[in-house]
Amino acid sequence: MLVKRIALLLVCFWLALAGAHAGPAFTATALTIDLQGDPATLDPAKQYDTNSYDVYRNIYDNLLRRNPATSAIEGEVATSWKAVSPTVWRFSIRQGLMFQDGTPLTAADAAWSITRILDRQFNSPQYGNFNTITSATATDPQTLTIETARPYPVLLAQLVNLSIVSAKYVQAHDEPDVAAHPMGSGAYRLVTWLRGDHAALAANPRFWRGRPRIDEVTFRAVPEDATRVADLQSGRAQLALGLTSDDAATIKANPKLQLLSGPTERVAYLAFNTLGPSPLRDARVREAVADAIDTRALAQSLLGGYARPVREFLTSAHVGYDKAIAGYKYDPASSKRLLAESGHAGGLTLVFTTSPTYDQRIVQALQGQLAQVGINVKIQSYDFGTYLQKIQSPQHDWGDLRFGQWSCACLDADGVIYPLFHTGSIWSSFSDPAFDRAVDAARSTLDAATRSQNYAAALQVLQKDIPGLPLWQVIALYGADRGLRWRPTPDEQLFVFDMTLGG
Amino acid sequence: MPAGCRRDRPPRPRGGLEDRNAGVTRFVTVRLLQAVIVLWGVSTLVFAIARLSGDPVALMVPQGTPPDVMARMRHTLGLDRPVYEQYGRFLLGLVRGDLGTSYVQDAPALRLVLQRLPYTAELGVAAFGLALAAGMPLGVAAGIDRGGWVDRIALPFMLIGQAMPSFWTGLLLILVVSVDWHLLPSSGSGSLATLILPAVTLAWLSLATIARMSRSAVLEELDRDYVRTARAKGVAPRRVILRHVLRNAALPIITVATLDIANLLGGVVITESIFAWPGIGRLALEAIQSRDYTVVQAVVLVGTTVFVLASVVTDVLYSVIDPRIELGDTSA
Repeated sequence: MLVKRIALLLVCFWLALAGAHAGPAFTATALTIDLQGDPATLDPAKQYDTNSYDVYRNIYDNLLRRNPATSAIEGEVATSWKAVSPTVWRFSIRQGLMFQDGTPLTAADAAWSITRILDRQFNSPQYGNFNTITSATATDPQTLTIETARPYPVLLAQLVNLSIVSAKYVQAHDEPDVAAHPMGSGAYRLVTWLRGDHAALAANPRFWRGRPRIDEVTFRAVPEDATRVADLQSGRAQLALGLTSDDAATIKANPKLQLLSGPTERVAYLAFNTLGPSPLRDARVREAVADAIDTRALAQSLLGGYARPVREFLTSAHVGYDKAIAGYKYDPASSKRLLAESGHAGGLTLVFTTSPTYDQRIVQALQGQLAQVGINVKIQSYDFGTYLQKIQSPQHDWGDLRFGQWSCACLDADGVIYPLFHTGSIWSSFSDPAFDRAVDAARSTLDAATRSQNYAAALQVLQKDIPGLPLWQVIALYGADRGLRWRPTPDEQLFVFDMTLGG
Repeated sequence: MPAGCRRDRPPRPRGGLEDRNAGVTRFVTVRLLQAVIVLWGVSTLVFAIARLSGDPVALMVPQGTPPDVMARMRHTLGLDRPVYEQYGRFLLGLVRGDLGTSYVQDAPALRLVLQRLPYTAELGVAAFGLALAAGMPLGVAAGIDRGGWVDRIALPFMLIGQAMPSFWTGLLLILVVSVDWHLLPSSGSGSLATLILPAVTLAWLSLATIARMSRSAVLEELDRDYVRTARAKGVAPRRVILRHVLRNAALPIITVATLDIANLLGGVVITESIFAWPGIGRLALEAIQSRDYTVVQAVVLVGTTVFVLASVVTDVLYSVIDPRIELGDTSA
């Protein structure tokens, strides 16, 4: 009996020891991020949507990056660069970078990343961003040489969005494999991707900037805004994207959560149809509309202050921004006077073409403000595909005004006012030869001073002719767990390496 | 001969199990052939509607993309060919089982749909089972005990579910059960716990229909002669219900339940979006919004196939439950 008891005690003791020797309890830091949708693909060259970018930006490195605080362009895979002639650029590639399968990252991979986008058969949606490049070659393992068709001042800004893929890996695997099993050199590698549900990433311990502080990150696709907020409240997610000012109060009232906000490069604007059969062909009517909009009130009351009124179509971070532009003051009296002068004293009806993609409260609020000066606005809403078809028609018969939010992901006036207002652009219902000359000159030189001068001239034309009214700079709202330390960046890049998750 | 339901039966023109099996097989074959025609019709309709709805390339590219680049993309995707040529290629692909490649996700459309189909099936079966398991007994109890507390209180409570839109019910459940009470996860899939809230949301729509149908079917049967006879004979009330009444009431209930599968397939779109459930309902919604023609076509085809198969199964089930029913053509 005693022997049995002792034996039992020994067994228990041994089991306890074995358990203790299993090692110290290790809790990996895990972060769950709720996105608005599922990534379409994890091949960087095959898509152009935020959800995919948010995920694969953490798997791949880009050629260049923007400083999170100043938005200045810095090196990432490239350490330095030089324009050896107006159309030839040379980039030095960082030493010692490795893809997650251990193979080294060289200039040949960078060159291949560009070349595959330029292949028209490949059908990359990003082709339009890089098609000024005529060739990209690795002149030696650490030097990338890029040649452009004409002097291209926005090249560096576009290269901020270029992810570097492994040439060997891409050439050895077929396309669906590259999309589903990405091979990058970034801070995280893909563990599982359940389409429609979540993508799980794990830290890459050999990342060249050091081991990431968060070990595992899961990106979940949650299309419904209210559900993302509920996920934060129930602890299922620690960061949620795409919140609106309506959710701000709920987040702020919860002691376990915090509201993160950051100005973006997106600018909300109203565009007028100056070329089609519209009363807005008359510049006085356009000025009347501009004077009737109280941007400050809209930003305060509708968006809870999470919008910064602007005086031009660019933010202060954009290249080409001119702080001397006056903008428009809210002046309903002036608006009524201008309407009378242009023969619309008895009232005017305008057609507002829009789509449910845009916040309809803003559209209706604009309608309300215009009603105060005697302009009757009829809202016509189409689903987004049809809306694009209508406003891009060369007949310019899409209506009178439309609301939009523009971002080129390049922080450069060339990506904003050129497509919006140049003659012949599919987005433009405006034509002015002086404007065209100015923006054409600004995009054909690398000289910063010349570009500045030309953009100042172009912006003055826009100020005078009012083909559109710039409204506000969009401020992005994120909900997060209080333990998350992260500052949202203006380029809205979700770089998990920069985040920490405290206790 | 036992008194009761069998007396109503007309004399059978044929006898024997072999004949019955042959009849069933022939019936199923004919129905499957009809199903092929239905699928062809549906796919042609979806093909036409998708192409009338707009240009997918405009939605795929960055805002500043010049039109010549977009035209080139359209050409590579084959979207600038004449419609009849696109249709011909589509039909050829259908026959081979190739439904094209998704424009947005760059993967075969059919594979994308089949990958996510099990999730919708899981949700649909759970909701359907829940609706039957809760709705039928409730309806039967309400019918048997007419005017009792089930009829007066429980059934109206179920009817509330039919009146509330599912996106509201779903969000309400998340708010109360997940955020306030911390009982279940607020979204996603992967475990039984995540299945409960979306299944309840989806089931609540069908619950009321099934409960009401059960109630009225039972009420109708209870009035019949055979029930009075059985009771007069002294058969225990429970046996009367289970053995006699339910078997006859089952037919209309099954009919309604099958029609409800179509409702479930539709309701699943909203429920999946609310709960971030990775099924084909959400896939369809996203594909429609991004003009991903191939995926839209694939989802519709798969959904139609499911529904058609379900209705064939139901028809066969009729003949199993009620031997009086002859499937298909009765002429010799």
